[in-house]
Amino acid sequence: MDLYLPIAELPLNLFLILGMGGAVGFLSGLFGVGGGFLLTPLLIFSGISPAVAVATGASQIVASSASGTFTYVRRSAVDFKLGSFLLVSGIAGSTLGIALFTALQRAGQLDLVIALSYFGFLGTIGILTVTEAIRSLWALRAGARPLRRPGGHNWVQGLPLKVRFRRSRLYVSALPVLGLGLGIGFLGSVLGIGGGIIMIPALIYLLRVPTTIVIGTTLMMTFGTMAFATVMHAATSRSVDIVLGLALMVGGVVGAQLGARVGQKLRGEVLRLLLGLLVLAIAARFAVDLVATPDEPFSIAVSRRL
Amino acid sequence: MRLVVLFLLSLAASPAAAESLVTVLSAEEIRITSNFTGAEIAIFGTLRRDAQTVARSGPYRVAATVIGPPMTATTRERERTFGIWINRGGERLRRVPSFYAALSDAAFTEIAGEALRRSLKLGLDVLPIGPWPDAAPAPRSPYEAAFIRLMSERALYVEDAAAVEFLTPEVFRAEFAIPANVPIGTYRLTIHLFSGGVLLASNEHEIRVGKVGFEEIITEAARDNPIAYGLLAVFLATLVGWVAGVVFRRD
Repeated sequence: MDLYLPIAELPLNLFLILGMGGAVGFLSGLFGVGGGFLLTPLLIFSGISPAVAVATGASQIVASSASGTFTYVRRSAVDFKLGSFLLVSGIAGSTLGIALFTALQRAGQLDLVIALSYFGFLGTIGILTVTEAIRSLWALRAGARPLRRPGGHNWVQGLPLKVRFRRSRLYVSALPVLGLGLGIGFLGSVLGIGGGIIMIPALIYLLRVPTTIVIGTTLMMTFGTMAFATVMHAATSRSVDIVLGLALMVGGVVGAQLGARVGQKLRGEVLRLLLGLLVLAIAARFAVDLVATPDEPFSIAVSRRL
Repeated sequence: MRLVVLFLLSLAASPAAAESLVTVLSAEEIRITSNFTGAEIAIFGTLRRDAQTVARSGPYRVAATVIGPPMTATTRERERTFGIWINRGGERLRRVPSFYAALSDAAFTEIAGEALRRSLKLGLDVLPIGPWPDAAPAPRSPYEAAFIRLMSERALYVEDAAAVEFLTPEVFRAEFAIPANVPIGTYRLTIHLFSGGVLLASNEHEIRVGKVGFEEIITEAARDNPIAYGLLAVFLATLVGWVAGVVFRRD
């Protein structure tokens, strides 16, 4: 059954859309990430233009992170102060990102930058996540409990402008927090990802935020930043397709609930290993696309109709 | 039924001159709704001769062009640079049709000479798509050739020399397809009658392609009230997320 998408201006099979949303939602519930890094490429491969894919993907992330945020807020597992620092810098980063996005589109290099960025960042995150997970699993096997020291010391502790984040039991410089939010917001609006995939490891390893707080706080920041990015994309490139977005959301939230249920049955280290492997697989796919000889070296880009 | 009535009326009221051409379309408006997957338009026509018409040397030939709204397209080519494929060269094509179809009942080169075909834009090889469409013809650049090839692959540029069929020596029928990813706007359909390479008569029609109903409301909202539209998208997304959390809540 085909559904005509008014902004993307083409029809897509409705079950395909629901399936994509469901698969991405499942992964998001399983790993606690937004899933945008998988959704945007999937939409592009289905024939939707990158602008519409990124903008509509952002709206779908709003839905899935909203669902999770409410749950975590109810359980008081959110650090609002930390979340709002991240949110404000995230919005600033988002604005810069959308400006860059528009400029790249006009120069015809948007696809290349998206591919290189996905490859670079996901490759790095994937390698870091997999090695950490393997190390934890190895330690567990040897009988030692993996140590998580919230508030422990690393190079980040040496930075000035410290702020106390009571809920996370942290006393850390505001600079890395704001920098992280800025970077994630920027990346998110250019690539159409919520940034949880980068934020969660960064919060855990760099800032030593306790694991119980990390997911809820990340979701809160993701929700706010992506809501802002959706409105900005709608205002600048008019490329948010509400019909596509709603269909993706319905599949997504159902998938997310299933994923969360399955996720509770698996050990944290195993989940992180699986996530790292998935991220590496996507990075590899982009690498292949960049390097392999294309079937069709020519492409057409249409400026808005006269 | 309506077609038959129109034919009869046209037979009754026509000026005494050389051949005349009467044509009608199966639809002059394409409405895009939520289950749109493309459309087909049929053209019916009749040619009439009267006592004063000169005897023609060759058989009658009918050819038609369908030209969609203009757009600006940039064709780019990827080249291998430092091991990866990057868009390097490109050519901007201004005011090219976003949809083009050339239909006839015989090979285009048989129907008319190149100069005449160029002035009528009859045929992909004479379609003016260079950077300055009104300039003198020049050999196609690789970008222009690639543009035509890519548009043909998407079924947006079509050339069919068997699309027109004569049902009787005076009555013909033609058909062309509009794909699902077609641009919105006004399409110009021109039907020509030839004989022995000479243009005898032409008719013009307009086809409007537009979204209606829900799709139209959405597109106009996105275009005219973008911030409100964006906020609505965010509101709906938050609502869906919240409802899902409530529905699936276990505690």
